[in-house]
Amino acid sequence: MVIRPIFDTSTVIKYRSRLKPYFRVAYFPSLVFFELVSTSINQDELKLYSDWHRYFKKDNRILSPTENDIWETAKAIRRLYINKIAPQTKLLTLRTDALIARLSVKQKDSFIVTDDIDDFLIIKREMKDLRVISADEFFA
Amino acid sequence: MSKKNGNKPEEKIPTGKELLKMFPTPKKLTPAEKRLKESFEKAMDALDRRIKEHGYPPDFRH
Repeated sequence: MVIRPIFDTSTVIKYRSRLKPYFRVAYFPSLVFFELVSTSINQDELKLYSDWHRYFKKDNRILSPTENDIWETAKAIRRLYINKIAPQTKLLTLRTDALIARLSVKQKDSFIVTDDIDDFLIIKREMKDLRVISADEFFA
Repeated sequence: MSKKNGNKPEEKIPTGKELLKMFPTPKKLTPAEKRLKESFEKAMDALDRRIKEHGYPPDFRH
């Protein structure tokens, strides 16, 4: 049963005021923390992410890619490129999303909530078991 | 017995509303959840200010 949302970075930013009720069941990818923290320029914002990090870590709900995940995801992106599934410029921007997608595929009870549904539908061509819903539909 | 084809039907993905019905927010928060709520609200204001200052959406991904 898929019950655990994984929010990608753009969804975390755009829907930040509506996320909290879902934190009790969600997984949080370390990659999203990476993007959020590395671009946070404000102490309050950093404190927020630190609190989130502590909360999810304590519950063992932070997902991180293994060496094998990175290897397999790289091959998936390569196949998208070789098969000309999307323009090269688009594929360049898919790398982190593809790793997040891989984490979700491995975590059988999870699904991705994203504001960039088109990007994840491209990735889904190489990760058939990926479950993804647009943020618009999820938060409707 | 006929062999079933390998395509599994896709599992239904719940919307946010459906998820909250399955897992309603408890009325009494744990200390950790309370701390999270407070810092969430404070930081949300900071983030709003930042987005106002730097534009939306910030380029987080490339």
